[in-house]
Amino acid sequence: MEQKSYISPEMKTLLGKETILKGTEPVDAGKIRRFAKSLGFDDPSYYDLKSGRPIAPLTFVFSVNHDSLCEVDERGRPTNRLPHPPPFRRGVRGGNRYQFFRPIRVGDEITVVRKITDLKEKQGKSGPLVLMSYEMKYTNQHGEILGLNTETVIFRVPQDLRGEGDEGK
Amino acid sequence: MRASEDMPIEEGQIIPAYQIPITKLRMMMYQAATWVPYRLHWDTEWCKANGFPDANVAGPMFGDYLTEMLVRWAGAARLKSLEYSNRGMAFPGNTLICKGKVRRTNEESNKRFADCQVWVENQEGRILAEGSAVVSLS
Repeated sequence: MEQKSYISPEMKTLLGKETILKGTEPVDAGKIRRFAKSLGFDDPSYYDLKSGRPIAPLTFVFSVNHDSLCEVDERGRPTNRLPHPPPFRRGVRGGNRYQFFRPIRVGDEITVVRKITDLKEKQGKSGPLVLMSYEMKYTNQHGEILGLNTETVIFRVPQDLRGEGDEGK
Repeated sequence: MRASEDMPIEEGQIIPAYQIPITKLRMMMYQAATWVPYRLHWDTEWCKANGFPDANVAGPMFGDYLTEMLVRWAGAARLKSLEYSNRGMAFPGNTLICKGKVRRTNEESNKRFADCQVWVENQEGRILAEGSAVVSLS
């Protein structure tokens, strides 16, 4: 019996498409300090206001939503996040791969280019899964690369869409 | 212990653990500081109505803490990459403990690197995230 595929032709058209997201203002010292403080970090370089400081923790570029003006949906999820492709309503973050180039500094104006790079299927313990990976490339106003983040989101195929043999899980 | 860029890194070396207690207050501050007010990470009532036992820690926080552990040990300039997969949820009242060790050192294109195994566990020893990191030795 041929295994049913849960990756639709419409999903496949998303592969390779780029979305450009621009930060709405240059990074400032307060944004860096609040990020470090919220995590409980004690490195003085994240807080000093001497020349060239503070410098941001390395993951600041990946973890922060750089669009201060974006809307949120009723769940509080920013609308600039990658939409879940139909028919999937809820996804779980599977993991990330960060490549670090240099810490963010005050004055950096961040641009993110996001591109879906892979769609895969696998059988999970509770049924069929679709995995979507996308890459986000972060640069500043000088075109300097600041970071690369490849993220994988896992979608569980809804019960009502499962093919023969997958229903009971 | 603060990192020294000159500190030698060798195969088998244990990375000093880094731990942080997680409170609902910290989770709310983090969602505010990252400008991601997703209810999943701070709204207990909403989470329970949607099948979760409580608000749960945002996945990127695991990456933030693993990275900080590595930076405190090797220095920011030497950390090249971190890869991790989420394995379990963390909730208010948990303590996150980041751990790691140097699996091997290798050479590529005349540059030397350390390949490190890293993970996050909670106060009961349950693995919440695991992965690997590459630290430059050249």
